[in-house]
Amino acid sequence: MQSVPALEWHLYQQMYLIRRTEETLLDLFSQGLLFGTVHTCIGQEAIAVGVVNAIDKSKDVIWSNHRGHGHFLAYCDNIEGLIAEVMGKETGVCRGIGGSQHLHYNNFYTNGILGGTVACAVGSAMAEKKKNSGAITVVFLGDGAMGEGIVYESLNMASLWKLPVLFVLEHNQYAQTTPTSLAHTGDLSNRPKAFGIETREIKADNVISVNRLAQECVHKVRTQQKPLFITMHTYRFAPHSKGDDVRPAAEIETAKRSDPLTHMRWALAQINERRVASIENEVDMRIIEAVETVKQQLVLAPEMFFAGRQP
Amino acid sequence: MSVLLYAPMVNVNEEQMNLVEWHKQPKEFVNKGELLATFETTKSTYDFHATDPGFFVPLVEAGSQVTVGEVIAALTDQPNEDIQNLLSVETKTEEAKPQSLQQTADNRWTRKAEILAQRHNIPPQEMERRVSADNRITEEVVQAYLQQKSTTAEKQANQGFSNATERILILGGGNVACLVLDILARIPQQTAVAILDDNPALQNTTIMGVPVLGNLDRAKSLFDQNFFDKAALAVGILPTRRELFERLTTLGIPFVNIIDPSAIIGVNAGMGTGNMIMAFCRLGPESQIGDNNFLSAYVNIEHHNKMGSHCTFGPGVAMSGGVTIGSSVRFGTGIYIEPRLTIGSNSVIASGVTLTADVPDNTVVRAKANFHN
Amino acid sequence: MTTYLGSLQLHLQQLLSVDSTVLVMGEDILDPYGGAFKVTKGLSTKFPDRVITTPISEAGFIGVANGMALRGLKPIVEIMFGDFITLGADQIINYAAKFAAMYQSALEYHLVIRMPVGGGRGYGPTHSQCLEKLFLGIPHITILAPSIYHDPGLMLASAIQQPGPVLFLEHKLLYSQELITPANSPFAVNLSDESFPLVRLTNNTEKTADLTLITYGGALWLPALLQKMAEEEIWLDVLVPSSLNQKAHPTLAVSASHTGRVVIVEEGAGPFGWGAQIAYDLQHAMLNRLTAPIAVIHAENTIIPATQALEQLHLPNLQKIEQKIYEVLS
Repeated sequence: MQSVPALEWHLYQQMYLIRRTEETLLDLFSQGLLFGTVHTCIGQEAIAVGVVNAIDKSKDVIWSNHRGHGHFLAYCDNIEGLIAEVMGKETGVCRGIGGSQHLHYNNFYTNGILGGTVACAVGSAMAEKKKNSGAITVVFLGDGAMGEGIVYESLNMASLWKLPVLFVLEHNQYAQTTPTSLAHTGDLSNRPKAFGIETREIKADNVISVNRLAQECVHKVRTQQKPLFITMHTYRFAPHSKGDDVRPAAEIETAKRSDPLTHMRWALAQINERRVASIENEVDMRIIEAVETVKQQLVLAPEMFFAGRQP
Repeated sequence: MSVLLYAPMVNVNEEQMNLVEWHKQPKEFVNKGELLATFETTKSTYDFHATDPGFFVPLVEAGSQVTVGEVIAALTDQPNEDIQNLLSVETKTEEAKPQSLQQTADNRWTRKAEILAQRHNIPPQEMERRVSADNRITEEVVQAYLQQKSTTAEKQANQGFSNATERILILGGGNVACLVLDILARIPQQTAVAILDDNPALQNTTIMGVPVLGNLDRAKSLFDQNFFDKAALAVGILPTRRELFERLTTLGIPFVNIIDPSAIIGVNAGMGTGNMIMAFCRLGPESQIGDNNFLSAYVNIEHHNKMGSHCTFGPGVAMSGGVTIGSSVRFGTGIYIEPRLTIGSNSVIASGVTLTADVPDNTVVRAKANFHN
Repeated sequence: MTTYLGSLQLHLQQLLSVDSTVLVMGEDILDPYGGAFKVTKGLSTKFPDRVITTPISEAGFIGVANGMALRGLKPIVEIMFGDFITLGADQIINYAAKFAAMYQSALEYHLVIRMPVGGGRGYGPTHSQCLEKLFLGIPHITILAPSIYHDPGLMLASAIQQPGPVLFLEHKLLYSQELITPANSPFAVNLSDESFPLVRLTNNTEKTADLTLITYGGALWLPALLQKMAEEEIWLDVLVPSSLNQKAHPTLAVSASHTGRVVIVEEGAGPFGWGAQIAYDLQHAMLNRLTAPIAVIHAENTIIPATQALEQLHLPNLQKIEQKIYEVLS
């Protein structure tokens, strides 16, 4: 029997956990137990898991966006904190106030407005460089955000000031319902080159190759103290949020043939199917328990929240 | 005093108008307020009334065009008085006359003086004759004129820019102050000007828009500065009310009766001073109460009752006629009192009691049914 | 004798000397130029690592400052002209103002955005505005506007040490002016003992004031107005807050309840501004104790013309304010 490195089991476990957690959130939404919006990254998990497992979680900074559950879970594995946050419970990581798009935990930040996070990421890279902490910053952005002017101001400053920031473009071919071809011209992955930023490109359907590339890039950013930009080609299998999918069904079916989760499961199952099943079973149980726990929890008391308002 | 009359501003858009008719004959005596002339502008006609009593001297003919501010007539003290003096002052200062605030002010007038004169409807030429030593018309000149001319009713309006109302100083800034301010808010003739309270936390705050300006000791100096006319005690506790009332009265500070507009005061009913009478109270005919009593809402003091001073009532105390009450009696809430009883001073009547017999001085009357024990 | 500019320069130097987490960024701020209004002059020579000149990217560098602030630094950002703040509005409203409340986190967060504002220099429609109105209604922003009676440098030093974001408005006409203090003012000046003080001025300490005048920031007409009104025997109680987006300071209501007559002056254009809010707060605190309706004077409700004669007419000026005072008193 071939032996599989522990890291690979871990990467699979995390991808599976992200997929199941997001599917659970969609279920809760359908049951009316969840208020607001949910943007899932179903189909894109290899990026979150591959990249986040390449950084030093003890000090590196992550900036994510509206589609950030995967990045969050890969960073801190806090299922209950996430589900509670999305369900608006006081035990959520932001006490239910931020919700799905506004998460913060240790060195992990998200914001629901596209583009601006990239500037903040450049700023945190600058701060860490000034502090000589050795930390780098990773920022995830989508092809939609590449329409925002602030992204290019940020790329310019990151390169100008030689800041340790790794830009990860999750190019899933759609901005909500608009295909890239209707929103952008030229090659998005080439744009950073105009600012003198080194770029890489990969098809993100294999978490192990994503992780290897990410490790190499993280190392480079950290040691050379300058930015790097990776374009990851991917596809989101679920709608943008809920019920807003106008993509051709056949296109989605074709894309699902390169599901990173299915691929890796097949490969691992060839070697040790029982271990795969046991990992999945353990994750399923954790999610069920988390949902049951969160359901019992309370919403933040109004006086606690409004105490923070300005007079 | 002989005065000149000027063509009034009838319509802000017109400087000229037609004097259609004089309603009096030359040398005829005119009383203040009598119809004197009719003007006509392009928009309307306007009746002009005498501003002062006097013998009528027309200076323009009926039917002529006049300009706003132009001298049109005089009202003299004597039937055949020479008005040349009046007119010479007029011509000397014609250009200086402030017609409206839109015009550039004459250097001789300060704006304050001008605004005050306008507020009190003082004809500008009255002031022109009373310039100060340096040939200026200042607030002091106008105030001096007003002092000289004022009746008692006008006097209160003469305090600089203050309102023509009785200025009340509230003593105490607690809950009772809100009660008192709430009543004053509904009485146009009385205005709370400030609150004094010994609580440092209240200093430099406002309560219902009225500033807290220091502790109670300041009352005397504020009164000496003519900052207020009368004081009102916004305190519900009997011994404190009595102590403050007596102390401040000794200092010469007058107290005011604060009476909610919804209260009914009967014929020949009377009261001293410093009484607080809340909403829906009634003081029946021929009843007399002393000073500094505090009547909460719905207290009914029937006819021919007599009461001393410093008594406090909770809401809903009702008494029949002919009752006599001493001083410093404390009534709880919801008490009934039979006719012609006498209640002695310094007594305490508990809530819910129905009094059917006289109460001697210094007596505590407890409720028979006490639901708490 | 210190000028408004001198105070800012001095305190910036001191701030950078004593606190190594403070840094300054903005356009054209390096020596020898030292910034469009010279506030940062001399700084980059002394602190080359912590004075960062930026590209013309207001959105971008306010975002960078946000990232730095979240990671424990204390950036002081200069926007060359306050008018350019619109470019950074998203970073201020959707990022800086929201971090602490949105993440429900006790994060240490310090950020000051300095900006020269106001007209009177003939810079025309896009370099003369007072746009603070755009931010006054946004929760969790502090908006400060030191006047010539405040010490702007001292306020800046306090501003960077308090939770951000802080928008710090400097009226561009004030830079060259000597600060007016209780020691050198011909009229009585009192400052409250808050970090961002309320200034109280009067042109007669002995008489009861006739009218309460409330303003902030530029207001260079104030010394002349106090003088002119004194000649006319009109006694003013002038209140100049330095912290704008909070409920009316209680002293405002105390003064207004004395005088019963209030004129509010602000330089921002048109209605829906700070003055309207203060008027609302006052009428709320005053019930029926106002003798005359509260008057608000602001710049005319159109763009700011470049030509000098029309700019003078556009902005609140001595004549307009004087006239309004007479109206309210009459």
